Amino acid sequence: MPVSTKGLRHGLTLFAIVLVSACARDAAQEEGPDVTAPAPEMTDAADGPGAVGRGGVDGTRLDGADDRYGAASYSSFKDFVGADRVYFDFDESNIRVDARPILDEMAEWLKHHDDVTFTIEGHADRRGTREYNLALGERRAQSVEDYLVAQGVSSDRIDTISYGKERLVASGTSQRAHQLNRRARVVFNN
Amino acid sequence: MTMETLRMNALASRLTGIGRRVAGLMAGIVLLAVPAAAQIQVDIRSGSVNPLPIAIPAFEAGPGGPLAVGKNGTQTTLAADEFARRLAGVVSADLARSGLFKPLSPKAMLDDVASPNVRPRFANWRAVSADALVAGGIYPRGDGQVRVDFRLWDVLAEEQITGYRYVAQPAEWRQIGHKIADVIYQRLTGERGYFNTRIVYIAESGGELNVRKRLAIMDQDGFNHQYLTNGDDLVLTPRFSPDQQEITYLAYYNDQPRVYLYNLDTGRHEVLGDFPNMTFAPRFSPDGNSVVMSLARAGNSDIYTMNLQTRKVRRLTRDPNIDTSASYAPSGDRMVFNSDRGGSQQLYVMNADGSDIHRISFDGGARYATPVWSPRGDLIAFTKIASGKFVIGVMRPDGSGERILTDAYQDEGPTWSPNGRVLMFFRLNPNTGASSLMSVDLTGRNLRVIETPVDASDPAWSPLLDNPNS
Repeated sequence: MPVSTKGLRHGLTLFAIVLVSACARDAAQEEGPDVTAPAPEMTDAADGPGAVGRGGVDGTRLDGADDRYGAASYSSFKDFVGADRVYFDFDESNIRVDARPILDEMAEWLKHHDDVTFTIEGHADRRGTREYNLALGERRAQSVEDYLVAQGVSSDRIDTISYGKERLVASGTSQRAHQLNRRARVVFNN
Repeated sequence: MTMETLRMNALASRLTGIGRRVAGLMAGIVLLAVPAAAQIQVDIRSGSVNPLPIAIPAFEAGPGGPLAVGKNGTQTTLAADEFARRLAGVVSADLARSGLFKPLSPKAMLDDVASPNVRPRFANWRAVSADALVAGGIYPRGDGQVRVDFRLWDVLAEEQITGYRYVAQPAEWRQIGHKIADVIYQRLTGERGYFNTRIVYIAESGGELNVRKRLAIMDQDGFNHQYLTNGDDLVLTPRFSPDQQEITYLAYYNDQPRVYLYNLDTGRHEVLGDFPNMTFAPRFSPDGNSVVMSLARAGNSDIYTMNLQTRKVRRLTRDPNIDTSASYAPSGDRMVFNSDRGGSQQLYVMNADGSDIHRISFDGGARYATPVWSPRGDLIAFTKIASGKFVIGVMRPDGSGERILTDAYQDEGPTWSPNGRVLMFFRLNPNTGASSLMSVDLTGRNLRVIETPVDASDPAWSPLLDNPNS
């Protein structure tokens, strides 16, 4: 994981790191791509070794070279990325530094499995008013979409939906609970 | 703040006798007898540390009955004397909740009943310190309807203030009570009442992390409660149309958040428009001809209106920041909304065509949300977020005169009573995550819980169902 120890100074960041680190994989993959690098062309992934186009039948991917991506399933996606969501600062929708490596991994997997269509759910904590939080969740989902598209994932594959503060995952009034609720999550459409 | 029960001399009564058909419920309303000068007045603006003592004994029950009070085909009946007792109870509870009146306990009264057909024994009402007396009677009719008479008396002056007769189906008995309470409120405060109204809101069950939300409607006092959706789909932020026949709200049917219209007469739900992305935060225009709402596009939320006849959509704001929660002025020519275009969430007013946008809230240490223009036009209510609290407040449309009315961890989403004197909102219990409906008047003194069958949020107050005395 490209985790900076600087992040450890920040309690909230620390929590996100723990989530990601729990699913750490081999060292080679922990070198995430430079987020400032130009986005690869979509054809790179589609034409890559073992890639299966949109016409592919259901089933487990047979390519040997890219076993590390696993099948085109949600569980493989989560295993590969080590997370299905990223977190946001209070009342913010910009992609945090600690979210970039997660989104980079998501983009890499999604480019490999380019027949997967998915939805980005934007969520907010309950310390905002309902309608404003719906707008904020939409903005967060769009931030994630923009980031993934910049990494070469086609926007045609991406839907967004905002749930505002309507789908909390953590209860209570603690900062930790609020942080867990301020999230954008990737779910597959089928 | 002092209670001011003003004794006005010979306040000219402007009552005129009127019989009128109202909404198919009341077969007729007749003013009783000749009004004398009203001498009692409650000052609604100062708030009441000492509310007006008023006696509302059980209504007199005429011969006949029992009365069929069941709704929707149910066969419930009430004996006439029980009907009379409960009807007085509706009037009494309405006036007590306003905070401006203190109905006397029936146990303290020397007379159990005061007939509207007999001059009251004023000495007996003065003896129990009643300033006003409501003398009512219910009289079953041969055609299945019931006649209800009441007179409001000034006990000290020994004069009638007003009196009315209603003829209605007995099943509408609670509405009769609310109308009587509205008449009393209006005669004694000079302001229109708000008791013959309904609340549409979101009923919540299942707990904080697995919440089911249902559209629900009830009378303003919590009775005649009905669910309008089954809870399978997320629903939010309902609002009444000015004629109360429709509700606009946000629903996630098919996992697509869109603004819907619900027709209360037909039960039909209809998506409003054909938008590629989320539409939310809907409110009717005061003339009922259009709905203003927010549309999210590429992550950005702006404000649009849709004409309900032509279905023509008009974009009002073009800004890369969040613009939402628009609310029309009662005149229909302006609206207030919240936006974070200035860096934090603040209130802005613009013309109804989107021109002349200007900020009205300037407390940079706070965020402002959910503005609602008063039906009187004089104030804008809002949620203010500051110092870790969400509180309900009001300010003038130019942003001056801010007053905060509540103090809690999280109060949100005010809605005005139709007379512009009371706000309902919802309060989150931070320990349980449960929300409940509350009301507070503009003095901030009369804070009350609105009882609901389950947890509740997003209340919206209806206009008056009809004018109580015209």
